[in-house]
Amino acid sequence: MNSVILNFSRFFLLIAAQIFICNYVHLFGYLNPYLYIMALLLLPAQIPRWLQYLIAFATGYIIDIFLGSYGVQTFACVLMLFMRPLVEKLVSSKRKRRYESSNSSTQAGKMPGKTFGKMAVYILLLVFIHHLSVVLLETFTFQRIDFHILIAVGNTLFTSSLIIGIEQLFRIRKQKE
Amino acid sequence: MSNLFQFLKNQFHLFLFVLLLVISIIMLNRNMNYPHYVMATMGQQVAGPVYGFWTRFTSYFELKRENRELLEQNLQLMQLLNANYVIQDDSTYIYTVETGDSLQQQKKQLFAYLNATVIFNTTSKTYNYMIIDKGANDGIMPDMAVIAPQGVVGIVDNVSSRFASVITLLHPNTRLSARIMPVNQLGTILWDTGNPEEVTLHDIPQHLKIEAGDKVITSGYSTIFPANISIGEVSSKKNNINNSFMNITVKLSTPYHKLNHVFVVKNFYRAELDTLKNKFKNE
Repeated sequence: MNSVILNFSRFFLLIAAQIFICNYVHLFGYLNPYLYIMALLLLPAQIPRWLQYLIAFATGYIIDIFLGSYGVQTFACVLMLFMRPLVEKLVSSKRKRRYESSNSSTQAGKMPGKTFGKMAVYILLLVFIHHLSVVLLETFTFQRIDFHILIAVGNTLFTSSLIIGIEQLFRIRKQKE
Repeated sequence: MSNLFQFLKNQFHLFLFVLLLVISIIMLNRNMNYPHYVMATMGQQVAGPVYGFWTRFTSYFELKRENRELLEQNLQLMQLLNANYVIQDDSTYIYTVETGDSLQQQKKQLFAYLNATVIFNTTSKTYNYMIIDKGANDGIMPDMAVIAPQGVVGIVDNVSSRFASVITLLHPNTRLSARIMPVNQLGTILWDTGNPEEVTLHDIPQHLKIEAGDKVITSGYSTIFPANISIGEVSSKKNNINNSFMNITVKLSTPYHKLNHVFVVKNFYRAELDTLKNKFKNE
């Protein structure tokens, strides 16, 4: 019950931060962080997967309303949560069978991966999947594809550094307590 | 049979995943005009008040710059006043010509201006747009022109009762009739650079002398934009190998990323002009 409230408040805070702050950020004119996907990355893996997809759909749709880009964020979020167990399996050290992800280390408020490097890989990969699909769906053309992929990579580094920074901040505070 | 149900139950999340992806792809489809219009209008009714609330706070940060710009514009407007000329030149001849008899000089008002505040704005996307805080209740209709003190901004697209969305010049579908000065040649403005500070000017023949820094203004030949509104300055030009026209890059005079106050332009004779144009097309 407690973790449900925690998750809801995290979604609310991160979506508000996205709408009121991140949507106004344009680094170098092009880079626009999508910080709200941190809430999806921190979603506990114990939740049944169909519910995860529905949560991703709803979150993406809310952001889409505020960006006026109907379907883009929705598609990217659902795809990212579909890829999440695979990436998680990639970075977790123990060998696991495919549908055992419910035992995985993703608990409320904690990223998987024992070491910092593994956690960074987990975040970078999933953020890149999201950003690449956003850029490709938004442009919907293969003209100047190199330029658009460059933007996706730059944007991935921007968003990931924000997410990792916030994650480390809370981890240090938890350790102190 | 029970095996089948078991299989469906186990793989339920996969079916849901595919279903959700298909729904989002349907939402992406820009060709379905009516569903997209309904969705955009509904979205505006949610997003508009939220952004309006937030802009009430953030607009304070821009006040200093806005004040300076307003002062500059006031100065320009004051120089246009009739009274100015009378004070500058005291001859009776100019006085009568300028102010004249009201019956002889009936002025026709062609354009009216409404001011609006930008509450949301994108510049880094492929299809850029903005939302302004005036809507159908304030007399805004689709296809009205939107300008800023510095120059052209865009064209009104969707209108809800209290808000309206504007397609800016930074949109692949925008076409704008432009005039390049001082050679006084007509061309078409397109946004195909992907850069939010530049547009390209097409249809200028190669034999004309164009210099960097030449002014590009609206032609006034469309029924949407008034004439002589600044679009930008020529930053570079390149001859096109395939035909006898030039590719001219124009640096926009409007700073799209920090727009706050804009003016919506109403053309009183729009319907009349459009019917004339359509008649010509049909023949």
